Amino acid sequence: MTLTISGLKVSIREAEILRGVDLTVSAGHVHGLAGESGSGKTVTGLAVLGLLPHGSRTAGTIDLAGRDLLAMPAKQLNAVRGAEIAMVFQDPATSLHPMVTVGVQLTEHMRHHIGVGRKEARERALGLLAKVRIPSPETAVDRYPHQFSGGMRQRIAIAVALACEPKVLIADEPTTALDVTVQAGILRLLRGLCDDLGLAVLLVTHDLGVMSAVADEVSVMKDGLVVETGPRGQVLTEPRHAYTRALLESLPGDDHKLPQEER
Amino acid sequence: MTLLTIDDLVVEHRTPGRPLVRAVAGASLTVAAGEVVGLVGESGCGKSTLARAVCGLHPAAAGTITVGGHPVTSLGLRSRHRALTGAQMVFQDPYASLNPRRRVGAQIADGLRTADDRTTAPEDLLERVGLPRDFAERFPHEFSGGQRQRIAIARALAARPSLLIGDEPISALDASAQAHVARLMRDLAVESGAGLLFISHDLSVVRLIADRIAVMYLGKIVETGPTAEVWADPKHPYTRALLGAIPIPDGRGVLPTELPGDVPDPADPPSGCRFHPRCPLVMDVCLDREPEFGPVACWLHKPA
Amino acid sequence: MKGSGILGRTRLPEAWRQPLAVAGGVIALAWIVIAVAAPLLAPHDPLAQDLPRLAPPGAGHWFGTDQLGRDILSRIMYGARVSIPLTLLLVVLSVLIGGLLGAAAGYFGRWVGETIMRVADLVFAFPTVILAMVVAAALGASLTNAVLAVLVVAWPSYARVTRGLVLGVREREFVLSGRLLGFSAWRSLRVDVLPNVTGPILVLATLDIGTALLLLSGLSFLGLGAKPPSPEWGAMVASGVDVFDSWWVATFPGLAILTVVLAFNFLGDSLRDALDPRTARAIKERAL
Repeated sequence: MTLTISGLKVSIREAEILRGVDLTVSAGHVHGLAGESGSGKTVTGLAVLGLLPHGSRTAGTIDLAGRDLLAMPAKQLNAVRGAEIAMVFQDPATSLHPMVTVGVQLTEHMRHHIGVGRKEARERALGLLAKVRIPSPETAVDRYPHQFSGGMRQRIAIAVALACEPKVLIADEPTTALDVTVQAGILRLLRGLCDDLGLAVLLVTHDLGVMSAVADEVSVMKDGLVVETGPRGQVLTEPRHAYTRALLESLPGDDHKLPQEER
Repeated sequence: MTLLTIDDLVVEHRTPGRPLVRAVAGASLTVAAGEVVGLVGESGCGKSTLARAVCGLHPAAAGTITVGGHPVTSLGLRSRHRALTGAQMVFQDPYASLNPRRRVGAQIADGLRTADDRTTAPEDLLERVGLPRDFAERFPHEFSGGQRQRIAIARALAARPSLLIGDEPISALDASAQAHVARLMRDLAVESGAGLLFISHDLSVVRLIADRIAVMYLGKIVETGPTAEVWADPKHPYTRALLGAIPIPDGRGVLPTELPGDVPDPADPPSGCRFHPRCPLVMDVCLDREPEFGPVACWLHKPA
Repeated sequence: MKGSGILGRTRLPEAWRQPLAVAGGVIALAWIVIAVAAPLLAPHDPLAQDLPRLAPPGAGHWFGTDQLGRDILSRIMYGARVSIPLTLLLVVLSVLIGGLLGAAAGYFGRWVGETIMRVADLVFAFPTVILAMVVAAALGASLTNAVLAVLVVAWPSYARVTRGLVLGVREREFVLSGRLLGFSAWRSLRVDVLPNVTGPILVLATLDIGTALLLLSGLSFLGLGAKPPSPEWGAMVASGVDVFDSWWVATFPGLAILTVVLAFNFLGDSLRDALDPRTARAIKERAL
C-alpha cells in the first residue's frame, strides 16, 4: 500500500505550518523525513493520522489506497487509524499507558479492530513481543511498562503499533530519547520489520546518521516545504539543494545531526 | 598540575525498600590544569553521580576525591569551605539552573563575590560568554535554553574555579547550539587555566572538545586515553560497541552494530567483569575476576 | 512579557479579565473603601440607640434597626472596620509564622523538621472550630483572644504547604549552584528558596481570608470573640437569632460576611489560575 501526500497545506491558528508538501511512501520502503525544528516534519506525520490540534485547517490530499484521509469523516478515520496506519512516538516513557499491562495494551487494540477472541489475541500478543525481540514474552506480557527499560518500552510501543497489522507506520523521532547502543537495536528492528512485513515506513528524524542507516529515500524539509527528495545515497553524498548541502556541512565531526527543538 | 584526583570512588544510593545500589563502584580519574576530560557513558552508568560527588553533592562511601589539593567534603548546612568553591558545576537543565526571581546580573555577581573579585563586572562575564552586556538587567525567563546555559557558565566562571564540571550541559540544547556551547566551555576553562570535566552521553561532541576520554559502564571506568587514540582504536569491547553503534551519515545504508542484551541492574551487577554477559570476546577469567586496573579495564589488555 | 517579581511572568491582563475575578476584586475593594470611610459614609452613629426598635428596612434606615434601636447599616459599615483589618492581620500572621516554621522544617529537615511537623499534626488532629473555641474560651472572650485562637489553628496548614514547596525547590539546580558558590544555609533560604515558594502561598492566603473571617465571626457569634456593643458581624448575627422574626437583624450582617468571603474566594481562584502555568495558558488560548 502506498501513502501519497500531495500539496499538503496545514495552518494552525493563523500560522501556515505546511505550505504544500509532496511525499510518497511505498510498501517495503523506509522514507526518511529530515528537518530542523519548525520545518513541519512532525506536523506532517500528525496530519496523516488526523492528530492535528483543534482548529487546524488543511488543504491538499493524503491518499492511502485510493482514499483521501483528509476528506474522511471522523468515524471512518478512526477505523483506519490503528488498523491501517499506526504511529510510534518519541518518548517511550509516555507513549504507553502506565496502569495497564503490556498484554492488555496489545490485545485491546486487536480485539477492537480485528475482533479476535481473547485466547487468540493473547497468542498474537506473544508473537508480537517475540517479533520485537522482547525476552521471555510469556512473562513480559503480564508486566507493566515501568518494569521495562527505555529501549524495551520502545520495542513494546512498536509492537502495539503493529498489533492490528497496519500497512503504514509513522515513526516520529523513535530513537532520539534512547542511548546510542539501544538506538542501534531499534533501528535494526525497524528495518527488519519493514523488510519482513512490507510496511511503508515514514521515519521523521533530525539525525542524518539515523537516516543514512535505515532510509531508502530521504526528503528534506524547510519552512513547511520539501526542498529536496531522492534516494538516500544520492541526497546524502551529492545533495542538489543548497539547504541540504549547508546542513550536511554545518555539523560537528562526521556525525550529522540537524538542529532540532530545544527540549 | 593535577587539579582533580578521584581515587577508587564509591558512591552508594539507597532507596527505601530496595537493595543498596553502588552508582559508582570504584572509579579513578584525574584532570590536570588546562585539560579537558570527557566522561562518556550511557544512561545509568553513574557518570552524573560521579560529577555530583566531585562537588560534594553526594557523599563518598569509599575512596577519595581531591580538588586542588583539598579533600572534598559533602555539602552540609554550613557555607562551603573556600577552598572547595574551586569546583563549580554547570547542570543539565537550563530551565532549572537559574533562579527565576532574580536578575541575571545579580546571579553572576554571586560568583564574583565567591572569588572576592571586586574589579570584574557581571557584564564583562556576559561578554565573555558571547551575550550582550545589557542582558544583566533581565530575568532568566526572557532567554532561550542556550542563552541560559551561557549565563550559568558565566556564573560558574565568575567564581574563578580551578575545576569546571559540566554535567550533560548541552544535552537539552539545540543541536547546533550544542557544539558552540561545548567549545565555549572548553575555551573559557582552558584560557583561565582551569580543568574541565565534561560529562555527556553524546560522543561526537565530546570528541570535539576533549583531550582525554574516559568511558563508564555500570559504575566503573572501563577505558581512558587520549581522545584521538580511543576514537581511532578503541580497546575495551564496550568502547568498541559504543563507537560502532553511532550511525554515520555516509549514505551507504549501513546499520550500526547492535549490542545485545540490556544494561544489568546496578543493584545486582554481574560477577567478575561487569560487561561479561554482553561481551563478544568473553573469556573464563572474565566471569570470576573483575579487572581492577587501567587504562583499559579488560583482561584482554592487562598491562604486563 | 511583564517584569518579574512575585508574580513571575504571568499573563496578568488576560487572567484578571475573567468575570469572577473582576467581581471579586470590585467587591473586595468596595468593602475596603467602606471600612476606611465608614465615619463619612455611615448615616448614623453605630452605637446610638435613638431609632425605633426593630424597625424593618425603610427610609432612614435601609437595613432596619436592631432590638436596641441601632441602625444596622451603620453598624455593618463600622463592623467592616473591625472584621476586615483583623482578618487580614490574622492571615498575614498565619502566613508568617506557619511559613517560616514550614520553611525551616523543609530546608533543615531532620529533627527540626520532625518536631515542627509533629506539632502541626497535633493541631490538625483536632477539628478546627472546636479547637479555636477551646483556645478562645481558655484565654477569655475578647476579640484579641479570638484572633489568637484562630492563629493557633491556622498556622499548621501554611507550615505543611511551605515545607512541601521548600522540599521541592531545595533540590533545584540553581539552589545547588548557590550552595556550591558558598552560600550559607540562611542566604540560600532567603535568596533562592523563599522567593520561589511565594506564589502558591499567596494563593492559599487569599483563599484563606474567607475562612479566617468565618472563623472569627463564628467565635464572636458563639460569644467567644467580640464583646457588645462592638459592631462585629458575627456578634450581630448572634443577636439577630434571638429576634428571628425581625429577619433583617441577622440577615444583613450574614450577607456582609458572605460577600466578603466570596469576593476573596473569587480573587484567590483567579490568582491561582493566573499563577499556574497550565491554566494560565488555557486562559490565554481561549482569548485568542
